Parts: sequence; structure tokens; C-alpha cells
Amino acid sequence: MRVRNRLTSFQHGVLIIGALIANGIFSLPRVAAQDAGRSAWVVVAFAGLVLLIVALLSNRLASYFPEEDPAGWGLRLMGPIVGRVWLLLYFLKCCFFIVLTMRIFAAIITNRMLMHTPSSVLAGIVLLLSVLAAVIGISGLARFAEISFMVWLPFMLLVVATLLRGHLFHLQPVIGDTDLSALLAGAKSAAFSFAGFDILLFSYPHLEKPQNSARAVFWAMVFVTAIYTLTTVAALAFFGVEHLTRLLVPTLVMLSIAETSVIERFDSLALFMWLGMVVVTSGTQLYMGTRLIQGLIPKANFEKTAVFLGAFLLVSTWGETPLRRLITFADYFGTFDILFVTLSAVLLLPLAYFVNKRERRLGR
Amino acid sequence: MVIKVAEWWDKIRAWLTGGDKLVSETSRIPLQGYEHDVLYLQEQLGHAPDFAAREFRLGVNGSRVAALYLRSLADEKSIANSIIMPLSSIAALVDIATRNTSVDAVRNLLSSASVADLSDLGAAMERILLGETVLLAEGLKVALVVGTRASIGRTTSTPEIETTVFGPKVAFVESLETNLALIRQQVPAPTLRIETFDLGRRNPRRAMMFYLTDLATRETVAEFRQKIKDIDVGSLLETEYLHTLIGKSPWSPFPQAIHTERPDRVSGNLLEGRIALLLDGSPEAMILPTGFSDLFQSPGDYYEHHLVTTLMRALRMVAFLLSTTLPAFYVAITTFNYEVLPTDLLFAVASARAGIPFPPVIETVLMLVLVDILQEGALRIPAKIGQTVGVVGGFVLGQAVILARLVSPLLVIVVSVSVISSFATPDYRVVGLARLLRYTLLAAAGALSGIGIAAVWVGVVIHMASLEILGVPYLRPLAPLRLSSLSDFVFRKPYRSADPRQAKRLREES
Repeated sequence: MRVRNRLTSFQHGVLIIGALIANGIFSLPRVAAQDAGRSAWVVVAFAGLVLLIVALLSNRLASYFPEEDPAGWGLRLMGPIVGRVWLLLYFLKCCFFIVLTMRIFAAIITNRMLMHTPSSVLAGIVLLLSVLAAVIGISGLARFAEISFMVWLPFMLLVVATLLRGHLFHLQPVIGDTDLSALLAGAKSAAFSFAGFDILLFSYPHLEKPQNSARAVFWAMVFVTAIYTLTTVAALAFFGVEHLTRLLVPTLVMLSIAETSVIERFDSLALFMWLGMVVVTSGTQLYMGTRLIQGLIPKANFEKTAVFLGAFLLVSTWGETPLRRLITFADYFGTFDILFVTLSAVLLLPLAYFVNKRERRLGR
Repeated sequence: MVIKVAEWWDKIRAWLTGGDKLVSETSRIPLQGYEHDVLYLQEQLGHAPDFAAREFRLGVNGSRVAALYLRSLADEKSIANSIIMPLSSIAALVDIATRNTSVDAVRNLLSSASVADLSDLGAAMERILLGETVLLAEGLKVALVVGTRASIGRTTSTPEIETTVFGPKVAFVESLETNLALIRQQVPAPTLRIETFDLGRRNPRRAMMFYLTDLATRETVAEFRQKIKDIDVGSLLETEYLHTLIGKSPWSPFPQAIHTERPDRVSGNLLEGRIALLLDGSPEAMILPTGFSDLFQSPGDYYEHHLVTTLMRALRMVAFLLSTTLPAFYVAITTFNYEVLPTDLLFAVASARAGIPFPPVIETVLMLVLVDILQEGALRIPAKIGQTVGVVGGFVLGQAVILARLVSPLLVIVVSVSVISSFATPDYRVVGLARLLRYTLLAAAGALSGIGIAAVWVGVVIHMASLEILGVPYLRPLAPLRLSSLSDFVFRKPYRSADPRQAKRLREES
């Protein structure tokens, strides 16, 4: 039941936002503050700006192959052996991403809400929904991302609104008590929250107006950087560095403090609304993983492969892992993800330029 | 090889279903002579008591002519005036049996506006079954079909389901011709195109497809036409059948077409570039392509001030959310997620539930089932005692279950608000959908609290995101978000700035 693939620039941007924002935002202020102290928000903004450049480079790379995604141009660009190894690595990265996303979300729910429910049940539900989202194709996935984004945004603004209840002295001095190496370490740690923007390589060929892609990528990355930075500022201002570094998921704690006359705590409601964004993130990765399998095995049917991949990943939901360990692992994995995507963009871009030039000369 | 298997399968299917054989045999039988043809039609119709074969003689040679029709469907006065009288009174002037131009001569004598030739007995039988009269004459190699269909059934009346305070007060009826006239009256545009189809193999029904050539996209019309032509069923009794046959996802509980009894709603949608389909015998038109947001729009929206309309549309959407999610939310709050409630409210909820023997999920299911049974029963109770049953069911039973401490008073409020909210949506099909979602969400909330509710809604949104009706996304104009289309979503702009662009928007989205 795949729907017609045809994306607007807004959908392109929302897909990138959806692929980036999932569980990372819950722990980002703590991770950044552990290394960079009061300068945590600066390193988040810095990481965002650096990755904005990487995202724009990736967009340029995609523009050389306007009708294909990496599953199509991977082998053509790198040859059958290197290309296959690259596709396989990329596929494994997507699988790890899905497993971590669903397991962290399930662990958060189990820790904070449903203590007696095995986290594997919750992870299985996230996986099932991700398979459903991936199977409908990139266009359907983008529509789902749009709705999830609209539902999620008010809660995100609520997080940012807690800034009003913070204290300015928690933020000062901005860059005073941290050395450069700590700042760089903080930026590296914060980078994991930006993993996932490489979906643009896969959505680019489906754009109605590919010429607007760079603008959509730019604004999506700026939006995510702004949200991450504001969240970190709010968390720093609210808790202070010492308190913040002791909290596992400070963003959720901030939401539990926001209250109205009808709703006392927003953290549970926010988690419900977050599910949509989590499914967008794992759904996009599952879509990418499925397309990469198709790159390796061209005859593979998309829907069946997505379902098969989902069933295969179901094994990974088995067992319980403490949330702290999962988040620590996600930090390492995020660094690998960002490194992989950055290196791919930087190394493949000149290659793509020459291949594209040669193909044009040969009139292909 | 595949083609051969398909041919064999067709043969086996035709053998197994006698209907196919009947239609295929009758449709290929040519006229074989006056007596044979009259007898054949009589036999094929099983010597029906309402079948009439009015025989009379024409011309100096006295050639026999038979007017074959069904008394129950044909207008006998019209037969007398437009067939028998003209042919009998001036019959001496015409020698049907001897002149070469006899068919033309007879046709010229008939005073009916609708006369056609047929050389196929199968088709002749189908026309008799539609209420038309077939003329068979000695010496003629063709049969003449004269339009004598009687107007059966009720006359036009006010809408019963889609009632509005302002605007036209006329609804479709079961007669296709009357409905056609109602649409013509609403849309007197020369670009209005009407295409006719006969749907159903065993029991053919005439269907009419309406669109405006300057507003509907060619691709959408072609796709719809093809879908209609591809329909291969024995019989079609209602437009709802078409809904499942044309829709991309027949298993989807979401209404994938607008069904309306109002000609003004059809005309409004035609002017927005959509296509309407009317089926003979059905008092409802089906409109495509449609989106989820269209289900929350009432024809009355366009007869009121746009700000009032905006408010009402927003309320309908809130009502839909309440009708589906409120009972599940109650269960989640009282079972798992009580931390979201402020302390005072939490105490109020806890004291209301004190002494109730059932857990919240069982209590809610019991109450919902009770209300749904009452609702279903009330549909079939004669109108005169329906009100009494409503009072007994609503007030007496509601009061009794609270006094018996089987359910909490809070739950009665929750269930009442939920059920009443489901009727706030203008499309009655949404009521059934809301009921289905309500139980699903309730089960999910009972098992996994609020996260279960969220999971079901995420699944529902994914499903809706996968739907496309004739190339138009079901979630439009929200996904894909098009700001220009939001002028007739919840907020409705004044006419001068909203109307002319609507069709253009639909074209862009498809």
C-alpha cells in the first residue's frame, strides 16, 4: 500500500527534524553540561552549526543524483566492492539506530510510568509502528512526520517556556570556567543528538522542487539547533550545572515542573506525544535500512523487506537493559553515526562531482 | 500460460455462477422474428404477473405489433398517449410490412421524445426491466425502445440526516432522473458533464458520474472512470457498495468518500473540482476525492458567517477527539497516570469512585456497551415510543446504575459526553468510526495507560497518512501542509477570497 512519492519542501524539512529529534533531547542538556559546564548551550549551538555544514554538503552530494538515493548511486559511485561494504555499514548503522531509539524510549516509559510492564513489550510496539510507518513509503512517512511534528511542537515550546522560571546566574560566566578541550569534548558529546539528518539523502529524489532542498535543509537544521540550544539554556538556568549533571533525563524533569490548573505535570503527557516523533525517527531509519537492502539486493521487494527487517529487529527488544547504560551506549553510537555521515559526505562529494561530470560528458 | 489459466478460471467461474451465463446468453441473442421474440421475452421474465404484451395491428396489411412492458414500472398513460394512440390512429397511412422505410416511419409516428433501436433481445429485456417499453413488429428487423418509465417512489422532500437551519431544503430521492434534474437545477453550467454506466452483472443499475470539465482534473476523471469500469460485481444496491469497491483500502474504517443527500452539497463540491456519482435507486450521492477534514464540514457552513463556521468546525474536531478518547483517558487517569491531575481534582475523582466494585476499565466497558445497546435499540424502535425509551434508558437507567454503585457518577458524565460528542460531526459515518476507535482506545488504555492511547493514535495517523483518494492525500490540507488550502479547513475565509481558488488547490494537491 505504498503511496505516491512526492514531497514538498516543508515535508523534506519536517522529515529531517523528525529524524533528528527523538530521545536525544531528554538527556542532551546533561551530556553537554558534563563536559562543558555552564558553556553547555554554546557547545550545543556550535555542534549544530558544524553539522549544518555537513548537512548542506550531504544535500550537495544528493543533488548530483537527483533521481536516486544512496541505494541507487552507492555502487555506481564506489564500485561493487567498496560500495557494498559502504552500504552494509550504512545498513548496520540504521539498525543500531532503530534498536537504540526504541529501547531508550521503552526504558524511559518503564522507569517513569509503567514499572511492571516489560520494556520489550513497549519496544516491540514502537518497532511495530515504525514498520507500519516505513512500509507506506517516503511520502506517507513525511505526512505522518508532519502531523507528529504539529502535535509535538506545543510540548517542546513548554520546555522552552520553563526558561522563564530559571535563574540567569546559573548561566554565567558563559565561557569562563571551561577550557577549549572541554568545549570540544562537549561539542562531540552533543553531536549525537543531531544524528539522523542523513534521511535527506533518501528523500531528495522524491522532491517536487529539488532546487529548494538546500533551503529546507538549512531551516530544519537551524530549527533543531535552536530547539536544542534553548532546551539546554532552560535546563541550565533552571537546575544549575551541579544539579543538572546528576539528572538522567533533565528535559522530562523540567516538564514535570510545568503545571496548569487542570494538569499538574506535563511529563507523562509529553511522553505520550513524544511517541509520534520517536516513531518518525525509527521509521525513517527503517525506511533507509530497507532501501539500503534494496541497494544490496536489487530484486528485494520494499514492503516485504521492511516487514522482514522489522521482524528481525524484534529479537533486539528481548531483555532488560538499564536506561543509564543505554544512554551511555547511545552517546558512543551517536559519535560513530555522525562520523560516518560526515566522512561519507566529505569523501564522496568530490567523487560524485567527477563521476557526475564524466557521466554528463558521456551523455548518460 | 498465465493468460490461459486466467481464461480457464473465467470459464470455471462463469460455470459456477449461473448469473454470468444468463447475462452472456441473453445479451448475444439477436431478434429472430416477431412470435419467437415475444415468447422469448415472456419466458425470460418468468411470465411475470406485471408483464404486459399489448398487441395491436397496423397498416392495410394488418401487421402485428406488440408493446412489451412491465406494468409495475412503466407509465401506462404515457404508453397509451405516445405509442398506441399515434400508431392506431394514423396506422392506415403506413404499411409497415411492405415499405422499406417502415422503421423510420414508425419512429416518426411515435410521440415520445425518447426512442431508440435495438437488435438484441438481451438488451431489450434489460430495458423492459428499467421500465421502458419495447415495440416488436412483424417484418421489422429491429425493436424500438420507447422511454415510458414511470416516476415511482416518493417526491422530493427535506433532508433527514443533513439538516441545516439555512440553505436549500431539498434532498435526493431514489429516482435517478429526479436527482439528475436536482443537480441540473443547482449547476446550470454548460461545462457540466454526465457519463452513464450500467453497474452490476446480474442486476444492472444505472449510475451517473458528474463533473465540470473546466474544474475537475483530467487525470482524476480518467482514474475515476476507469475504477468505475473495472467494477465487476453481481449487483449494486447502494453507493456505499461503490465506496468499498472504488476505495484503495477496503479494510479501512475511515470514510473515503462523502455521501450526501443534498444536491447543494454536490453542486458545491462539483464547483471545487470534485466528481459526484449517483446510483439509480439510491437517495445519496457519492463525492470523490475527499479528505478526512471534509467529514467535519457541513453544508450549512457555507450559509452562515465565516467566523461562526470556523468556531463550529473547531468544536466538531474537539468533539471527535472527546468522543473517541475521553473514556480511554478516564481509564488511563484513574488507573495509571493520576499524577497528571492536580491534587484537588484527584481527590474529587477518587471520592467519586469510592465503593465501585469494578476496576475503571471494566466499569467503562460496561457503561459504553449499555449506552451503545440503547443507541442501537433506539434506531429500530417506532418513533412514537422512542422518546419514552430514551427517557428510560438515559435518565432512569443512568440514575439506577449510580445508585446501585455499579459505576461512578463521573463515568456517566464521561460516557454521556463521549457519545453525544460523536453526533456533533455532520457525517453519520464518522459516528461508527468514533465508536470503533473508542473501544480500541479503551482496550489500549486498559493495557498500557496513556502510552497505549498514544500508540493507537500513532497507528491511526500512520494509516491515514497512507491513504490517497484518487491521488489526493487523505490528510490534506494538513499533510502535506499547504497554507493556501487552510482557508477552508477549520478557518473559513469569506467567500470572495476563498471560492474561486478551491478547485485550483485540489488540482495542485492531486
